[in-house]
This record gives sequence, C-alpha cells and structure tokens, in this order.
Amino acid sequence: MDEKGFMDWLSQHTNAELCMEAFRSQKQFFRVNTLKTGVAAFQKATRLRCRQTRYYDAAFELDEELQIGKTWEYFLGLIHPQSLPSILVSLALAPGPTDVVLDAASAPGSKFSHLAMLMDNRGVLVGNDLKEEKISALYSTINRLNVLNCITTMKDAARLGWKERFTKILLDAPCTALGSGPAAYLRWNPDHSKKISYTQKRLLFSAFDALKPGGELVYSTCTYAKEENEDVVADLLRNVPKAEQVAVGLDVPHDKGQGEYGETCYRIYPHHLLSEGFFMAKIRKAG
Amino acid sequence: MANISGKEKNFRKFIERHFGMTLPEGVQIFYAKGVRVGNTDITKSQLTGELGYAACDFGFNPTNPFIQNFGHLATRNVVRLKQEAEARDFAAGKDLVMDLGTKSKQLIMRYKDYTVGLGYYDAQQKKVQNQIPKKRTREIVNEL
Repeated sequence: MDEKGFMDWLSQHTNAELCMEAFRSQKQFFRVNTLKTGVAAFQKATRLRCRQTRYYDAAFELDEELQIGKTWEYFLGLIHPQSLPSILVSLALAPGPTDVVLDAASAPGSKFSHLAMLMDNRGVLVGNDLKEEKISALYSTINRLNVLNCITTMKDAARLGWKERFTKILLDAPCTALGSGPAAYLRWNPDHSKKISYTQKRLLFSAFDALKPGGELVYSTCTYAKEENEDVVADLLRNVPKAEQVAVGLDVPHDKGQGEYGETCYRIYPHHLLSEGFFMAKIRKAG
Repeated sequence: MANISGKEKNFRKFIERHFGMTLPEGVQIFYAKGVRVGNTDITKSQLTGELGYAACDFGFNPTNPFIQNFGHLATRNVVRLKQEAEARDFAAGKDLVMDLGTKSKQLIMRYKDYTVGLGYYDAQQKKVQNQIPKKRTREIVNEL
C-alpha cells in the first residue's frame, strides 16, 4: 500500500499525521535487567547518556545516537533494547514469583525475559515458539540475561494441548506489525490482516484453554488493524462464557479500543510514547 | 527432568575447587540433555521442555553464559584485566597473549566488577584462548 492509501486507512483509527510524524522521530528505549544488576547500581555505573522514563523505573530512554547492541551494558546483559510499549505488555500481565506463566509466542525473548525479571527469576516461566531458529534466538536472550526460571518448548501455539496449567499467559501474537516502523505499510494490505486474523483467533483459543480458572491472559500485537486486535478478542469473549474482559490497568497515554469490546483495550500509537505502536487487551478466566 | 544428586554434587565440587564459586540458594544444577542451570521451582513443575540453560558439558567445561552470569562469585582462577582495550579485545573474540605460568587451565576474565567471559590459558603458547561463542562477541563502541 502507498503512503496516501495508508494515511487514509490510518485516519479511520487515529490522527494519522501525528502518528506518522511520531513514527519518524521514535526514541530508543531499553530496559535494565534486574536479574543481573539493580536500577540504582546501573544508574551509578553507566556512562550511557540516558534517562529513566516516568512510566517504569527500569525503562530508560537513550539520549545519544548509539547502537545499543554494541555497548558494554548490552554485552554484559545489564540492559536489553526494547520499545516502551513492548515493556508495558509484561507489566500489564504483572506476574509474580509464585506464578506459573506461559509466553505462547516468546521469541526473540524481550517480553519473556522481562516476565522473568518481574518474577524475580522464581516460579515457572514457559517460553514457547514454533520454529528452531526462533527458539535459538530465545536461548540467546535467556543466556545473556540469566533467565533461570524458564522451560522452553517448541510447539504450534494454536495446538498447545495444555489444559488449565498456567496462572498467567502472554500471547503476543504474530501480526502485520504496522506499529513497528514507517515502512511496514508498504508490504501490507487489508487482506493480510483478514488472513492472519484467523490464525490469531486459533492461537487465542488455544492459549485460553491453557489458562487456569482465575488466571489472566494478555493478548497483544504491534499492529493497528481491528481484525487483528479487537475482533480477535471479541471472538473469544462471544464464544467462551468463561472469558471475561478486565482492565489493562496501566497509567500510560493510550486510545481506547474500537467496537463492542474495545472499552478496556489499549491502543498505543507512536505519538503516545514516541515509540512503536501496540495493542493490548487483558482477559480473565472465570473460575 | 532427572535430578541426579551425585552428579550435581560433582559439578558443585568442581566449580568450588576450580573457581572458588558457591552458587546462591535457589539455583539448581540438573542433568537433562546436558548439565543445566535453573531455579528449583522449574524442576518441581510437571511441565516438560528444555529447563534453564546449559551450564557445562559432561567434561566440566563450563559454558560462557554460565561464567558470564555467575563469574562474579568466583574467587580463584580469575584474571583481572587492567586495560579497557584488553577487555574490549576479549569481548570482540580475540585471544590475549599473556604469561600466567606453566599450567593450562580455564579462566574467568574480569574487567572492573564485570565478568567479560570465559578463557582457556594455553601454557605452551602463553595465551588465553577466547571461549566466548562467536555469535556473542561484539565490537564494543562505548566505555565501561
């Protein structure tokens, strides 16, 4: 799709001009890995020019032009480059040290390692992905950031086959990634979203099956298409009586979701946080 | 998910003897497709999969991730690099020429308070061979 077509489409969702401008001036963010250092200790020791975000103590904005992957801090596993909305997804799930957590599509492991951090490397964190090369990328993150509470599996997330095993589940679904950068729309058209929506619905049903009664699930994508976001969530809520929508509960700038079940969903556009675009919804299993 | 306590004991003995290293409470060594390190909760769970991450091979050659993550606990066979340039070279995957005596052995390379990686001192060639996997090496662009 060309830029004009995309802008017209995006205007149906948000302020397209503002969104595209913010897209182009995105900031670099990273997360301090408290599995290897403390936030205060990092701030004392680092020579990186950065500042703490107001939304989360361990999230920092880089104030210099630098490839984070080539810094000492990255090499030593003290930090992990991650967009701010991506950091917020794990905070929305908010797992603790006694939880049994599934990250159903976990590679390359940014949110996964953040979940481990929130769990203080205790409890059980299962990281799943479909392909060997994805699992390999996940291992690399596990190794560098010292994730100790993990079990990795290689399953089709649409057919997990786990019944009521997890207290918390993150499903960061494969998507058209329109929120990931200004060029994403060039390889996109609305049919792509319709096609992938079917897969996303299957993934969500499978993940929900694996959730214990009383457990919570966060569904997220880095795209804007309603077919991949609110429609997927609505499909579960309409068809599974035990599925209940709950508030995401984060105090960050966002737009509400669209449609019948959009009220408690978060749409984070680039102009909200000067970072990539994200969607998230939180669902509880009654029990 | 077998936890063979005798083998775990042997690994703990090895790291204690060679590196003077005692692992913190809650960290467990177990044998499941190799010697792995994880927390105690995952071994109690009924879930199957790859547990934790690789700690060493069966010949007690520790992995670089294990050393990078637990090397700060070591009190023996640690080389403290004095120059940042040396540490940078080691992070980039280069061997370091140095005379550390007549006995070849595994070493932990440290700079300031940080473990840069695992090395193997070759006494014949008088150099520390870099044991950091190629994929993990980096040309570092900033100062520590």
